[in-house]
Amino acid sequence: MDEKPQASNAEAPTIRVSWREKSLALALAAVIFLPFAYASLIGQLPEQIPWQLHGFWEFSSLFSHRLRSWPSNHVLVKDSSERWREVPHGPPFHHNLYGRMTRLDLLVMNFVMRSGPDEWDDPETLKQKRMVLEKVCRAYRECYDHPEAAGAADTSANPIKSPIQAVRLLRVWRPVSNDGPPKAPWPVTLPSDWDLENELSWDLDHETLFELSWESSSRPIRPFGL
Amino acid sequence: MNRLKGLLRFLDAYWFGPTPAWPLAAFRAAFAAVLTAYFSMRMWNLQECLGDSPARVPDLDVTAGSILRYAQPFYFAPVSDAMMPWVVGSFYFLALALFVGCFTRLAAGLLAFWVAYVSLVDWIGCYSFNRSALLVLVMLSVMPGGKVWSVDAKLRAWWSRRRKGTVTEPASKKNPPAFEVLISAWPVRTIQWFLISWYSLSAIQKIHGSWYLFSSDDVFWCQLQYLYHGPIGFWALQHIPMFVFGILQMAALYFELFAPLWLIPRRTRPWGMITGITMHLLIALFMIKLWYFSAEMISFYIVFLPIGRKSNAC
Repeated sequence: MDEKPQASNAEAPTIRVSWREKSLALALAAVIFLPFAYASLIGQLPEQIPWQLHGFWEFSSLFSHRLRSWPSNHVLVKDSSERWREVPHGPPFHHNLYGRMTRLDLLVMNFVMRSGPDEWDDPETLKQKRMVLEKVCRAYRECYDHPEAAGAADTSANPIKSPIQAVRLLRVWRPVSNDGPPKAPWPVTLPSDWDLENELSWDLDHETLFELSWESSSRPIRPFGL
Repeated sequence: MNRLKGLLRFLDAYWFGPTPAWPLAAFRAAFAAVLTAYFSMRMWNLQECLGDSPARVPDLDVTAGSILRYAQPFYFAPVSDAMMPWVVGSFYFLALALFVGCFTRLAAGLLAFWVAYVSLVDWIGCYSFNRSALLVLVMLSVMPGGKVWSVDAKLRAWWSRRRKGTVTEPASKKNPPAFEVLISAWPVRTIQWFLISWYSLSAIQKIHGSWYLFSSDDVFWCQLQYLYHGPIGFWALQHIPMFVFGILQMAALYFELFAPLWLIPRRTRPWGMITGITMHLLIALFMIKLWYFSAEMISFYIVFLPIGRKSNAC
């Protein structure tokens, strides 16, 4: 760095910057700004930049969309009493990383909801998605089979009874009305009037993202061709 | 030809002319503080973020053609229990070094490696904050952020006195007080334009999404009801008319899109700074757990100071 103030007079200080430093400064600006602008304006960085590095410049899209309904992810477990029960995301996913988003929401966002042309037909991608979601379901089973170890002690009047028979990941879409302000804060649980044994009572748009069953009598369902 | 030369001279003076060193030093310290606050919050759930937890995505061996390439660009093994204290300790050590300006560039460079590492270990939990922080730390690793208000500056002054054999030296042109130390403006300009381009590019993406330039719609009003809703945001939805959210949304869009107009000219800069800081304070207030993001954005405003002095071309 060659930074020698050369004050010819008090009002107009000058500073000498070497060509080496100027080149470094311009190169830094190019490395930061050009991929950032390209990724934001075009939507994807050019192939000349290794695809593994693309994510580092892709962060300018914040709150860009208005959806008419918002999705929420829910976990249902079927215990030894053969009844479906909703359980909170944590444990095993304690951490609300962004707002009320847990890692389960992020996993679903990254490994289930991402889609592209012909992606559903790609057996390798489907295998990878299935691997991730199976791990999630097994984590819930482990958690409620050994609640003390996982910190999932259920003190309710009707506690979950191990062994867990099945785990289901459910996505529910709730419409956002712009007729007036919301009557209650955004719910993080399923509607209380839903009969979990009878899907006919489920009035909102919903989809089963994944279900893993350990019952000998039933087969795992395979949504999305998983 | 003369006009072109004049333009090049103006750009040269704008990007490389003299500017006070203290805003860059203040930004360095503020950014280190925000970084510490954010990663401390993440470390509250350390095992889930970095350890071998059920949230850990197994090695998927993702290829370039897969739609999952954004979900796992690299596979990094989880941090073992034995290594965890070292990972945590090294963060606080480096963040403190950056805050006090001790081996400033080295600290910023190593911290950039640290942020890149933890982001890759926990890629699905790595969002705008991690990614922008990484770019800022890369920038700081080549900038003279420790020129003033730093341990580095104290050490340089001490070394200079020792070489000359004097105990104290009065402030002179060769050894001016911290507020009068000048540096070339490129580090300040780079950080200023990083924020400005972030705003403008974000606004363009919003317009590509659901935001309108000439009507307000209700994106902000709807976003407040979703994942980031908090008690104050919910109260605001109940008590503030919906059109106010529309006005706030339009104001945010125009502020972001035309950020260079508000934040570069000396005359509009104070108003631009007030508007931008107010916008981030409202986001922090209304949207739960976004205070760290607002704090990061507000820290950038330090490099737009001093707003009332003729320190440089703009």
